[in-house]
Amino acid sequence: MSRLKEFTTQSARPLPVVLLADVSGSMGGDGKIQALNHAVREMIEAFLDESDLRVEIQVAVITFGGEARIHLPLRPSREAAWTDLEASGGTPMGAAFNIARELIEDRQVIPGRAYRPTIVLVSDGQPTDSWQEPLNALLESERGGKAFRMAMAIGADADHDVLQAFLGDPEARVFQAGEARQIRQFFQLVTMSVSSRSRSANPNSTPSLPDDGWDL
Amino acid sequence: MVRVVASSVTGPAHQRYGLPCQDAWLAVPSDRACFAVVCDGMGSRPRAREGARAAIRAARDAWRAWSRSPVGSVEDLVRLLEVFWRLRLGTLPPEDCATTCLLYGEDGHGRAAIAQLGDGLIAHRAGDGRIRVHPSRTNDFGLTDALGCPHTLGHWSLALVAPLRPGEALLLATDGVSEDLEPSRLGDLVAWVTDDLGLQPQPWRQLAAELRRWPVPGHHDDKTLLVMWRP
Repeated sequence: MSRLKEFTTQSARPLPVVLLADVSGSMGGDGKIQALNHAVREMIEAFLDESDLRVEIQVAVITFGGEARIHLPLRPSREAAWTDLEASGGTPMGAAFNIARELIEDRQVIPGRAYRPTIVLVSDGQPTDSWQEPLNALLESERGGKAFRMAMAIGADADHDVLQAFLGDPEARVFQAGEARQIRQFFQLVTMSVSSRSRSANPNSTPSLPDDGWDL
Repeated sequence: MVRVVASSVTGPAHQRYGLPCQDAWLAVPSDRACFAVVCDGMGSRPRAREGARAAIRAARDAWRAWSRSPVGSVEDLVRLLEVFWRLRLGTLPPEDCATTCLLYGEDGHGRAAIAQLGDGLIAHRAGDGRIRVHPSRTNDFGLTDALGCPHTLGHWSLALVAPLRPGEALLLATDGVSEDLEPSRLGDLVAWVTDDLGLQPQPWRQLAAELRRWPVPGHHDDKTLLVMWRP
């Protein structure tokens, strides 16, 4: 046995994935919330299949529908007990940005040895609270601005401007889901992105994903 | 007599691709004025190995020039180091050779400099066993400052301290080691090196063997650990 075991931590470095999920009332139509539940459950199960112990993929889910709250606290994907989301209320996206910033900046929750988090935002509507200031605070925070970010607009009523602002790069792509099955496709892309990083020689490097072949 | 035990080993990620270790270390365990430096070439840069090796020599050259004067500031030492590094690179583009740099150098006039650019760890163990970690300006999530990356003097974390006294020790480590260390066990780690490994005939070999058996799941980085002490 290595003597160094006495002086080192025994866990792999965490790779946090933080999902900001719109669960406002409008998500209740057209099978959207069911598709979202199915897709997130699949994503978490897929992370369990990442048998390479190079990283410990951790998942948190912050929902905003009526109120913003932590639906699933950040924890290793193998310990994530998923319960389905329900749709109701308005779209307090700004409040969700605040919770995400507090989570990512909390060094007790995400230690400095963690790999860069991935933050995923999915929404089908317009924010019903003040979102600009909380978003700026998230993007300008010491750690929030370093996170990888992915966004998906669900349906025609989604606010593309806020999703694009979340990405912080006018060239970055906001994925579009016109129908429920594309929500699943998007989360497969998120899964592929995170898995690609987890297997990379440097999980902090930007993942390269095929840009075509996705009906999004 | 000042003692040093140090080793660098190639991490699994570089082994997988047949790449050499991109960490480097150098120490001058002189009684009059001792010196130690560790550097971690940035894996994403094509000449990182050369950058790290140039940096340890540049740091030694800078320390030698700096220690001739009893009044030079730590900032002066770093300025010299930056110039010597670029000169040692020759025609290699500095951005291709990016490397962190952590050093400790005594000037022989009753002072010692500590300087750190980028991630890694410098820790001092006092005679009574207390550990003092040098405050770094490290960014989270593996994003680090480095020679060869845009930076200013302000990105260095600098300190002027008293030289090592009998019973004191200094630990320098690249992030492949420091990211996985339990902060509460730093004193025990130093004691293991000074009181256990230090008694072995070729302690660096045993340290290298231990570093190759790094016990943290998923580790991939090159690893360098250096402990210098005055018995």
